[in-house]
Amino acid sequence: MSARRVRVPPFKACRKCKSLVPREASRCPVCGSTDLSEDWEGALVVIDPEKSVIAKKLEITKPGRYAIKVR
Amino acid sequence: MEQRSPSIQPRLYAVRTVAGRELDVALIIEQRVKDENIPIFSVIVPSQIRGYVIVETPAAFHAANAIQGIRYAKGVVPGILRYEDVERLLRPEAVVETLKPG
Ligand SMILES: [Zn+2]
Repeated sequence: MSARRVRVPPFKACRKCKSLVPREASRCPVCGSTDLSEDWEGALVVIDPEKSVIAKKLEITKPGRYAIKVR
Repeated sequence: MEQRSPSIQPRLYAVRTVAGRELDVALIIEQRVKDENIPIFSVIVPSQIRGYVIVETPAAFHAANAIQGIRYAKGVVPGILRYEDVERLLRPEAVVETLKPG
């Protein structure tokens, strides 16, 4: 299995709130923005924002999947 | 109820994965945590480091439990990661860093 092969991620990322949204979406289901990007890197899955120190440091209050970098 | 205790501070553990399958592993962990009520609070897929995801949980065995049987997950790395090192990985402008368990 080649480590170099490129896999198409199953998501796009919202440029406004950084949520990962399904690739077929045309609008972010979280914030409503239509500014979606196929070019993103890294992900943070917040499951319990109340107990997650990482979520608190990033001021994320809603559970969800977020891109770390969106271009 | 035990999770209300202030003594249960989450820690950060690295989980080794097959390179390229990091996001898949994170999403399976997410599903299991919800289905089985495992105390894992977040999962990080750092873009700079291939073959690892980072799990935020009070104890390593919860991470081991959550990845059991996942073909693309290779085990929990012994030792905990420092929050400041992981926070660096979460900054969009971050440069390549090395994970330093301990
Ligand atoms: Zn959005």
